[in-house]
Amino acid sequence: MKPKHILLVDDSPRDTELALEALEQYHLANEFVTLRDGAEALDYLHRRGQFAGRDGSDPAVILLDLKMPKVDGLEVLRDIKADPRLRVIPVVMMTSSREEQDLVRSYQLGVNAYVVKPLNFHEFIEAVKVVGAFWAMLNEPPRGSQSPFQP
Amino acid sequence: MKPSHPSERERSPKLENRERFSAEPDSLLAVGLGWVVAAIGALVLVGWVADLPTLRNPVPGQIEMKANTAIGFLLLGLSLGFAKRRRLRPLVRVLAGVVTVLGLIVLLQYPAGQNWGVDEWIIRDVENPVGTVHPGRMAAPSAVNFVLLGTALLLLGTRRIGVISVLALAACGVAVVAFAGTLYSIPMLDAFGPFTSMAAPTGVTFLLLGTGVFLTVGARLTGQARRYGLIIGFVVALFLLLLLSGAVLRNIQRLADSNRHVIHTHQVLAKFDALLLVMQDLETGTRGFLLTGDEQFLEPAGPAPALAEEHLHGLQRLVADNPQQRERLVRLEKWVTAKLRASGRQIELRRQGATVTEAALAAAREGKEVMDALRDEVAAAVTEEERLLDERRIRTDTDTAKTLLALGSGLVASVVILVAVFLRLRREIAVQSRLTVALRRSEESLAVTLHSIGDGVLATDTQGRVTLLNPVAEKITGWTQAEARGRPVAEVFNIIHEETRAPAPIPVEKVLATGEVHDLASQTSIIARDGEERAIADSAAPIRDAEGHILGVVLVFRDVTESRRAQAHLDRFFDLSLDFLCISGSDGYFKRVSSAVTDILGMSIEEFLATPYLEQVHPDDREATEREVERQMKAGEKVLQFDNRYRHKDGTWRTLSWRSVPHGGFMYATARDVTEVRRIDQQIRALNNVLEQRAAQLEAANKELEAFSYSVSHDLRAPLRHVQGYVEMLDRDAQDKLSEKGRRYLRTIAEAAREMGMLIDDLLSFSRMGRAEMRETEIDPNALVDEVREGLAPEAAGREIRWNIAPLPRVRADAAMLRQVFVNLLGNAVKYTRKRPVAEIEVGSTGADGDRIVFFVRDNGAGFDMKYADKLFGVFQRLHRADEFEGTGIGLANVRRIVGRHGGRTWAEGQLDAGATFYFTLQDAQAPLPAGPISL
Repeated sequence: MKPKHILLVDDSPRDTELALEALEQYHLANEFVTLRDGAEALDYLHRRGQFAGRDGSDPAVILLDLKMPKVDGLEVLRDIKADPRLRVIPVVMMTSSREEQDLVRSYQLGVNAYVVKPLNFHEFIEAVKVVGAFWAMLNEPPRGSQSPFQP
Repeated sequence: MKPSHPSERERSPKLENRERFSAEPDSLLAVGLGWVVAAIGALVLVGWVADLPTLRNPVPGQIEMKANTAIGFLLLGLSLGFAKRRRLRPLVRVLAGVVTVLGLIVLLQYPAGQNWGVDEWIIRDVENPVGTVHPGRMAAPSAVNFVLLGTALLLLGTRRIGVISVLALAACGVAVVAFAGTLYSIPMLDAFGPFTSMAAPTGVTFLLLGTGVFLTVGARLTGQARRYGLIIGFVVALFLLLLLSGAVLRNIQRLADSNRHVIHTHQVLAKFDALLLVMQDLETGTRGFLLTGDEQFLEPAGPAPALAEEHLHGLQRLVADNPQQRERLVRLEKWVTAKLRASGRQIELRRQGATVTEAALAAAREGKEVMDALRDEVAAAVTEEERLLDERRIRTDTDTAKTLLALGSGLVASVVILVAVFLRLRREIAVQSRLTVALRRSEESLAVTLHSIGDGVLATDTQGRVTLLNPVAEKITGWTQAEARGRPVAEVFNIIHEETRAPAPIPVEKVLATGEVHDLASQTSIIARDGEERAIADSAAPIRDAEGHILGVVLVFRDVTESRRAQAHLDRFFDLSLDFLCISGSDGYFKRVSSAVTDILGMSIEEFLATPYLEQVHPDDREATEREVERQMKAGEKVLQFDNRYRHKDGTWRTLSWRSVPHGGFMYATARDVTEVRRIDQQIRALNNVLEQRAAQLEAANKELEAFSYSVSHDLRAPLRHVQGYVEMLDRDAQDKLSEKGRRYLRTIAEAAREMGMLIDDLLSFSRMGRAEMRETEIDPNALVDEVREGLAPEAAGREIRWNIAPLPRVRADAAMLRQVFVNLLGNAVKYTRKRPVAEIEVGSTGADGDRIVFFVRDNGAGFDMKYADKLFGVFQRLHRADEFEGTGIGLANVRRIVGRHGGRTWAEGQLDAGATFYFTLQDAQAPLPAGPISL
């Protein structure tokens, strides 16, 4: 069975490129869907606008840039956590600095993890582990089973 | 005359009850007497109409009661008899009026010397009436009495009981005097001309009537008048009894006199008989001798001359008081002498030898003539004596009858009066004994009251001598009642003026003089007998009896030492208060203000009190003031703070700050002159406004700065990261294609980007330190230092570092910030000792800088030149080159900023290549908190 896709939302094409480049070297099986801003992300998640009637399941993990034009990461996060269907999807907030106020607000809104850009693979994997989406990312794990790769 | 006196109907029921109760026996007697008098009048009138003298006069030959008098008695008797029937009062008045007019007419007739036909208008008088001047006219005293008693009965039912009593008693007096006159047959009014005398029954009847009239009002007399009434009644009765006794005595004397006269007469008659017998014996003896010549016949005649002589002498003695009989006796003596002489001559003739015949003839001639004359004289004398005897007997009888009459009527009158007096007395005694019981009770109650009263009571008599001291007074004066009694009040009641120490006047004399209540002057003290001084308040009042006479003075006083002292304290407090104290009423005026008003508003207390307070308030503040007063007076709420402006005497306005409490219709307020305070307040407010504006501006600037630094942290770093990211990718991608030189460039680019990233991070952290919110708590720096030291382990790895950390006192600080301070200082210490084989780092605290603790961190590292000490704490200021010791020059700037925000200060001491010491001060956790948070 095909693993679920990962949604990456960032307005900076350089960051996106750097992130994908960093992750690509490790040949993850997951498909990456990249979106350019928060409004697109919401349309995608709610299957509306240009994404109305799109195929496929919900992403395994959402990587959200905090600072974006139009609808920023925090707003998208609030929307996701307010939706009974979407709130179960782990969200990892990405930011270029560790501004305390950003951290505080993100956690208040229910973010699952927090990473500083540029995203490198190790940080990414750590974050994904923290949010408990590692298996979701790879496959649908049987409930209660242990990871064979867990050290 | 008014038909009825208003007071009669308005009298209170209580008074009426008492009156009825006390007046009843008197009234009954009065009414009874009225009926008796009316009956007497009626009886006498019947005697006149039916011509029955016995009814008119029980004793024949005495003065009779006139028909008009009887009519008067009948009418007045009826009037009195009906006196107590209120409905018949008009009748009572008409009857009394008629009799009064009758008496007046009769009275007027006397001086006028005329007869207007009133006297015999109804009934003709008898022929030659006894003791009467004008036929049918009543005696003048009777007329007077009818006027008096008629008037008295006319006044009945009014309040003029005094007049009525006097009239009644006057009538009684007239009756008694007239009665006495009649009884002793003294023609008292003869000097004024011919008057008809008063009949004895008339006098007595007047007495009854007068007594009756007096009794109708006697019970309503009070006090003295009542006693006088009693005394007069008693005196009248006594006088009557005396009169009667006198009359009886006189009569007894007369009777004895009469008896003596009868005996005397009988003696005279006997003597005359004896004389006659002697003369007859002489005649017979003489005649026998003449006829017979027998001397034996002369034997009885022998002592005749001597006997005759003796009898004549006796008679002369007996009739010495009767000139007629005396003359007659002289004549008789002549005849007796003649007879004796004739007898002697005849006897001589016969002895000398004359014939019987001659002698007998001579004797017969001579003897018969003389004897006849003698017999005639004696008979005349006897007749005279017998006439006298009869006369005396009749007079005695009359006297006896008169006396009996007087005795009877007088006794009746005195019995009536005595009964009246007795009844009166009995009532008086009953009332008196009731009063005595009541008095004793009231005295007992008074004694108990005086004993238990909380004030001192001292009473004096009218001479100002002490009569009474109650226990409180004994305590205050130091005298016992027994010792003080009878002493002058000034000796016991020794009072002085509290301040002048001069003796204070005792108001006793003033009270005695004026009869009014007097209060003691204020500030009076009493000096007790033992010298103790007490402030007292006192008043003196007269003691009066029921009649209002002053019997003495009573002083009531109390020890007011405590209350006066308390009052003085209060007054002083009130006057000395720097705040303005006042009491105001609901009428818009202040009642009392403290003298602070003069200091605050420049006005005297009097000036301030004279004007309604609202007029003194600034016109703009009046409405608010009124509202505040209203709220206070209506709702009873306290005023905790209220400002308004009052006019100063110099025309300026002073702002007063009020606090006030309402109580019992008054407001008790304090005010403080806050004019200056308010002016300064206003300045402060203005300054505050400016400051607030500044603060707002600062805050806005701060916000901008924050936004700026936020933007810096994201947007400035993003391209830097991209540079790093792409350099990395280039390095990976084109490693083989680049020359060594190219690769060095690439490394330099990466290094520069990394440095710039660090600079940005430090700058941002410095900026955050200045803005971040501080949460001061009590902190144990030892734990913090340990923690930071552990954090420095990577840098310290492989080096020998001697840590010398003294126990540090607890401080108040923001934990995160203080942590940053130690991170920076210890980090520096580790960094700058890097070139020492053995690094020595010391952390400790030295004494205090004010209320702050001085901490220091000392190392034996690179040190610095004290020349540049000032630059050490500047942002991005460095004393070492980056190739010697890496760093951005932000650490110490952060330390200074953090310590500064905690209110402390930072400084450093050092020497090039000989280590450095960094000091900073922090708030001791034990020290009291500063007034407010300090923010930069």
